Amino acid sequence: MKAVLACMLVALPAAAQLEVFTVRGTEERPVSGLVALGETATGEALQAVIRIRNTSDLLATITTLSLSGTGFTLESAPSLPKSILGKFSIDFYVRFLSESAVTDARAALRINTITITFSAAAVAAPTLYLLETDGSRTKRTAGVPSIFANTERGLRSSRTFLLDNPHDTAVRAGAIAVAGDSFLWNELLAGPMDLPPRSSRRIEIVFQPATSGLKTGALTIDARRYPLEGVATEPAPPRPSISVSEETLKSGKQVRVAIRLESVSRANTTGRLRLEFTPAVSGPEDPGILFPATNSRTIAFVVREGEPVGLFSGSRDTVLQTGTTAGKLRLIADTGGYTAEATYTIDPAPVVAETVTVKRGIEIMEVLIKGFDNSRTPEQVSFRFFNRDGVEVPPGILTSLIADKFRTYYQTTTVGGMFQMLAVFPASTTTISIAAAEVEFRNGYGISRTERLSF
Amino acid sequence: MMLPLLLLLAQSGLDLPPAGYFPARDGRIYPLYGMRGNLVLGEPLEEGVTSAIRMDGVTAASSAAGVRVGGEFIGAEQLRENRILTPRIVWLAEPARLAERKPRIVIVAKADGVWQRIEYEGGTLAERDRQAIAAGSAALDSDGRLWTASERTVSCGERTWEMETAVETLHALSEGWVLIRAGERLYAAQCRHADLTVVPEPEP
Repeated sequence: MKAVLACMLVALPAAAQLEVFTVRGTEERPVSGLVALGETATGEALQAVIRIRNTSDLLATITTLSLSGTGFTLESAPSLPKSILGKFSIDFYVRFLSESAVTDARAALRINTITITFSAAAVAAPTLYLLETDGSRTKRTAGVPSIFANTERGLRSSRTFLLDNPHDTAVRAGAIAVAGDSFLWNELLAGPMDLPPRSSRRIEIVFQPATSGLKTGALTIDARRYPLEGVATEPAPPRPSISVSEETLKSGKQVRVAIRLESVSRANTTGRLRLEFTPAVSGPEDPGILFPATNSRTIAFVVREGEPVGLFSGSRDTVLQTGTTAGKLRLIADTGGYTAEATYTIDPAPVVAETVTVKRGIEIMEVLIKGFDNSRTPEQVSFRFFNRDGVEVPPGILTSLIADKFRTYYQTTTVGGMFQMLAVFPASTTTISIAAAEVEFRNGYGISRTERLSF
Repeated sequence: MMLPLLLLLAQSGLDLPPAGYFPARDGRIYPLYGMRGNLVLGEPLEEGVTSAIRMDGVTAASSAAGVRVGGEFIGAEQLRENRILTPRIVWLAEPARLAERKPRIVIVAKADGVWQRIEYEGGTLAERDRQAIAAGSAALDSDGRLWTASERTVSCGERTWEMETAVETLHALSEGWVLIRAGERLYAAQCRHADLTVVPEPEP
């Protein structure tokens, strides 16, 4: 908007004094007899902010405020009569809009006894419309955004504009361009476009965002800028499911857990896999039931575009340690608003002797057993020793009832069902001839026996 | 005349199954318990401890300030020479580390930027031999077996593993366990088993 500014002091009968200004931003310019609004395209408004300030200390009253002239209007004008306190001011707009070309349009603004002349011109230009899906069309004015439908990142939507020449003469759109990374159009239309009288051309603009969020751009036609706006949404992640490398979970194992997606993901998001464990036995919590990668029962994963599974620190699965306690293990995966669950039962089982180490002294044997009982119900342990010929060393099976010892141990242990048991066997003479041993455990869920261990 | 051999089950005791101490990625030294497929982390030792060893029920822990053996503290200035701390634990001044005392003490350590196999006489702790090891990382397990790692390959002599990423360190525990740090994961391996157990580790 262009304006030529001049200054005029308006003397009022009541001796109050008003000054008239045009306002641009925070800048005031005094107005004299003529205000030139400048030149615009047909269909596009020119507008000036007019401020009337009472520079005296007395009350001033405006009784007349009118504007006469084709295409000119007052906007936000006060109701009359309007009183202005001393040192106060009021603002309103003078607006010019013409649908047809005009070289010198004039209007007279009257404020009480004072007249200010406004001038403006309109150049014949095409009118821009936005075609709606129902076939109707909405006129677009420069500076007012055209909104595109919310579109998933990576996909596209489009809107069709209509550049219409409503005039009886040909008009030219000299330079047409679309700005903004997310907005595309057929650039073959970019050159000067001559529109015959009463004709129109379609312009299709595609909204194709690469990332999510609010996207802005603009369609510019000569000096007019029509903002474009669209919101790019993140694609919904696929529904997850939990996959475990073993069909049946047993204690003392590390298994692999994966988060499978029902389709290759187009989304990038995060998720969390956690486990809950309900022991089948009483006693302290088993700290061995966890995801070793985090030393906890929770682990984060990401769902990445192009991947059919969740990624744990870049890996397509993570390790789950089942611990050494019988019970129900529940896995829960949360991602993208979905929750997937899988429940596994770890059955109570006979004692597992993972390692047996035999130390032979001159007249003593020491047997060190590392193992676990996931039911925490050991009842009895038996040992058998054999000489180099495979003959059992007397007195044969040496049995110990261990239920009480283990009960006490498991009341305070901090490692689940694991234990290390040292058994000491004094001998009546040298143990040099002892060459092998067998160990057998019995608990509430059965008997387990090691193979014959040679040493 | 030889007496017939007769065994009696005199006693049995229960305890947590220890696997050793190791430096975690949060900079603390942790005790590790368990077995193949199930390892459990204990509470970390006090901050500043750089290594620890446990023998015959006694824990020795070294730090920049010195070594604590059970309830006794030995300052760094007193550890400038090889020293017997307990009947089973020794301090080797160069390279500075705790070790199990045996008739012949063999350690693998990095000295002057090169991995070396160093042998000491168990009685006097005098150095007897020193040989370079061509490897990116090396460790001697508790059975005396030399482990080496170069890039992604780990070998204990009779067995080899190909890790997903390059191996950064090897660290020996007890009972033949060796910890393999490769990428973001820490694995425990024993030469007699092909499978690896992922070691729980606190997030740094």
